[in-house]
Amino acid sequence: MAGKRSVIPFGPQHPVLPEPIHIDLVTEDEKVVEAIPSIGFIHRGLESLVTKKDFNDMVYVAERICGICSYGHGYGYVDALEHIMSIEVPDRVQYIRTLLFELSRLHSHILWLGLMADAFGFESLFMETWRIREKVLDMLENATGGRVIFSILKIGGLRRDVPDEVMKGFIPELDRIAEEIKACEGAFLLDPAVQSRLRGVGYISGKDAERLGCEGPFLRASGVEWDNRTRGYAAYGEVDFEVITSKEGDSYGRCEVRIKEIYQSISIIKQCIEKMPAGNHSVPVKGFPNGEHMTVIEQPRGGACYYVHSSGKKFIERMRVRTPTFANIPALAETLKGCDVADVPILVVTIDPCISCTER
Amino acid sequence: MSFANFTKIELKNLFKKPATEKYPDGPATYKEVTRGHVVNDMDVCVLCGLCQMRCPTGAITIDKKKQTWSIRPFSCIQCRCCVENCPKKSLSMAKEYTEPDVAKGQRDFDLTDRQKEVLAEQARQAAERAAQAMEARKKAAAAQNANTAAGAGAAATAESKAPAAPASEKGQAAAAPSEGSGSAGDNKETPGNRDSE
Repeated sequence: MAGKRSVIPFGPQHPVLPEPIHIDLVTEDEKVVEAIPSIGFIHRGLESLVTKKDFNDMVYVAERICGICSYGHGYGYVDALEHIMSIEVPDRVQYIRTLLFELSRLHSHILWLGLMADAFGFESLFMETWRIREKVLDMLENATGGRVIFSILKIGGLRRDVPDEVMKGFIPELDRIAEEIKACEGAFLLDPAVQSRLRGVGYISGKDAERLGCEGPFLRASGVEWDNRTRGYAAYGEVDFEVITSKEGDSYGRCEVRIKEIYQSISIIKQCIEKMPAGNHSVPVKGFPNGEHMTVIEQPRGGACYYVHSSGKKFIERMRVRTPTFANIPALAETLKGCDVADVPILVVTIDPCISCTER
Repeated sequence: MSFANFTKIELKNLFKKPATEKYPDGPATYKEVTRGHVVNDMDVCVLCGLCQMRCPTGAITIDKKKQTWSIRPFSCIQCRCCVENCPKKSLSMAKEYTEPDVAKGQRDFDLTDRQKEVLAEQARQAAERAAQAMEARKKAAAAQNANTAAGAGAAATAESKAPAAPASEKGQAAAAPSEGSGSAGDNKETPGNRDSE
């Protein structure tokens, strides 16, 4: 017998995530039958700033689109402009950029594990994972001078070189992080209490996930092999890695994919340090950009597109960013159908939402 | 057993020191390259204004009359752009973060007396050089006037000497000396311009 329908508002302020997304949950008894997401609470108009900022200074704005994926946003913008201006950056720059990209992926995924633990109510696991993340932030600070906003990217290379000794020092630290993650991994993947909260929650088939245009670990957890890193931008073409997928398709699968990607990131960073070529950390840039380019990169949360259009002036005409969270919201609405109200926070966290990116 | 696995971590953590720094009790630790806040060495600064021009947030202002360099520390985003663009290397990045404050105001820094004297001396020398350049230019202009007068005279004499020459030749003869005098004047002027710069 169908119960009486009622609408429960979720967000924009909700304890599970600090960012404002609003979802209207149409419920029947305890089951969600429809979810209507709405965004637009934190729009800052950063893309239009591109018409008012010198294109060199815009890197700082691009980095500030979001705190967690700041490096990726900076990279996307810089990469698009380097293509437009046909700048060939040295190999060393490509390797250091790849290394920093993977470090930022590492800290983003460990952060997500903590948020997930918090969402299913495992407070001490949350603190343990964030303690591990702190070490990654320390490494990033050692390399770039910033913990969250690195300000190391510039058009034509890097604003400062990362010394080889500093990078060599990362290797024992990374081994320790891998060990500590290994110790916590059991709590996420084998603990019966945790599994009861994750298994079968928010299932989406690979076909549906592709149809709805999902991105990143959310898509890979449904068994679809799709990773933009295989396009070989930066130095990804020269390091060994496989696309990690899971057959589960539910919250457990997403957890599994992200944990495996942590080990993969560590392995990519080590390969980068081993193969690190010598050379300059930047090349001089002359003139103004003229043309357009679309860069597609793999952010920790999935594929992101950066479109830049410029017509040979100091100010760029148009910039557009498509972020992975934006692509994942339709699938989130789909997976929410049929779940319990109590599972909604977990499902919202499994797409690793970054609303600041989405609205810019 | 995974259940026991995390219990082991928790038990270990019970006997460990806290992972956090006890900040107000002990000193905060920073990395070697941490971008904390911008420091200006007022002994070296020449108030050129490049940092003000390049600052993406407009946090830095320079008052050349009062000879002050000011920064609004809470507008500064610690991007290190000013430090990279400083021609005298007087700007540097300190490791410590900006100290807390009760207002978002601007902090002014006066040039040191020694640096003020240095700048005044430089300004005096520049003024002298400018005055010299001005004189040189005046001389050059005078010389040019004399040249053009002489050139015109030469052309007049050439005309008077060959009145039966065809019209085309006459035109060339008249044009040639005036061109020559013009280029000579230019050559004289350029060193003067360099001095004033």
